[in-house]
Amino acid sequence: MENINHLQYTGSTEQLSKVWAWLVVMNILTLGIYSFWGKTMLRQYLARNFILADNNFMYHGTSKQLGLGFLTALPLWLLLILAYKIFADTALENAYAVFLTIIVIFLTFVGLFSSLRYRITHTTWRGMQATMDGNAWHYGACALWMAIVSLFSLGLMLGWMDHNLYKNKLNKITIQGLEVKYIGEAQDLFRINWITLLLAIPTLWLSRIWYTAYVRRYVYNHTYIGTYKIHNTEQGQQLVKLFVWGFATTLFSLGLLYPLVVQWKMQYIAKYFAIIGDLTKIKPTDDQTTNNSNGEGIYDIMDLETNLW
Amino acid sequence: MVAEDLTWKRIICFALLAIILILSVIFGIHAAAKPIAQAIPHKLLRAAGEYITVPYINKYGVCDADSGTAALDKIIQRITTVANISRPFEVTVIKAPNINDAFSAPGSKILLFSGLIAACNSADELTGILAHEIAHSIAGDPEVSIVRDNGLFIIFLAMFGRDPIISHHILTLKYSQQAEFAADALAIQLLQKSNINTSGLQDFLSRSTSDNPTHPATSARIKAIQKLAPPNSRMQPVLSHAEWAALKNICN
Repeated sequence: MENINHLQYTGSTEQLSKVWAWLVVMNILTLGIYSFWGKTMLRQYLARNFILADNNFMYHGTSKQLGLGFLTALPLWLLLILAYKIFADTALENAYAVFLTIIVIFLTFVGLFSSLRYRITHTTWRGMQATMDGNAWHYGACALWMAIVSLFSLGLMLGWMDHNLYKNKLNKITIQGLEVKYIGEAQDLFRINWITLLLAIPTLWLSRIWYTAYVRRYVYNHTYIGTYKIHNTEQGQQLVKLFVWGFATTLFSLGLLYPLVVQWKMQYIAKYFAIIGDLTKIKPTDDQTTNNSNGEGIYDIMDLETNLW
Repeated sequence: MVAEDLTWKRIICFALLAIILILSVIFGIHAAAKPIAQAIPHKLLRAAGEYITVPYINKYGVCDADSGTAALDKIIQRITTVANISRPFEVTVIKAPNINDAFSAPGSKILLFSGLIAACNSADELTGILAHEIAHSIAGDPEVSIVRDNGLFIIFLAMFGRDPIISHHILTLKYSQQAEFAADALAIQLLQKSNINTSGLQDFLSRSTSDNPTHPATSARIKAIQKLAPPNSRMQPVLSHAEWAALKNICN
């Protein structure tokens, strides 16, 4: 009989509310500078409250690394903005606008890859630390290329793009000698992509949330960590419900109930995520995070918000 | 500090501090904008004025028929000389028959759109409007507005991480309306000192069919003007019929 180790989330709405209120207040008082400390505090709290096989996760990122990453990425942004000012009201204005759009899309993917790498490599479980190979710029270029193909195919190639994006991320991860391997096939995502695209307008784009749940379920159910298998059971219906309720709650509470929405999201992640295999074989080691890389500069500047990691 | 160390007492204390800070910014910026604006060198102000006015000039073109320009200069001279204003005002008429507006920019620059000249029934009305814009310029309102607007924008952006367009707009709306009442009052003073009919501005406003959101309600402005200058104030005409006709045709 398979060992199914369900992920558990033990955080509380009250504690999240305190963290959220604290972040808002401190960001006002420090004109946004506190955001690096705030993000670190929130991630540490969330990590501590995700438990797998009686062991919680630990987040080891620091505010200093996030801040330095931001400062490293800032000159690039300032250069792009300066160039925009220079080309405004000139014959090259439109050409630069197109160029800037492409660059922003490229940098979005670069930011997402490097932020994922930062978070994964700064999170441990039972002392196990992950590494993530690959180059964020290379990932960004590949993703940009795939985005252009998807655009010209009017979205028909999005399944292919999503398959490859996940593959290019997951297959780069190694957790303490255990290679993460995604073995899915792109064509398995084509049909669901086409169906949900067709239904996108009649369903006010909710069908695409269905697609997101399907892709995640498919990808994670075709991913191994060494000999351990990831088990994801999320369904489109639940994700749509989460999205609709989360959106409505945030909107009508003017953001005041946002911590409740975050709580729902964390509970949702834990509910549908498990690892199959005998995790007792993995002995705890001392947390020894030696990764000193700087944080998610491009991610922070572009304000690419993701839920957890 | 970790999340579990947070208490509601600590959060509320810091929240009160944040509220005090926000209120200080809101009222502090208003108080600090004028001294900051006054400290800006005139060279920079003129450059800022050009930055604002040149796009209009390039887009629409300028009306500068000699006789019309002479009539316009006469009005400006009349207002500024008797009132002992030494700084030179640069008034440019923009060729835009569909735009019924005028505004003052930093560096003593005033833009007058030809649509506004066409909408005026008399030289007194146009003089009243010009006096109003000169009053803005004397009070440093354009410069204060730029300092206030950019200062608020940057601070709100930093505090909230997004561009709070609505709150920023409402705040600057309030300041603009205060400045408008003050400009009307100073304009009446300038006209009275210059022996010019003060009812022109009131007459023009009375025909105004819509309220500009950055200005106080027209009825409120008319009431305030009436208190300062009763409608039976009759003074020397500022232009002859011929001069007024020439000004009306400044774009031809």
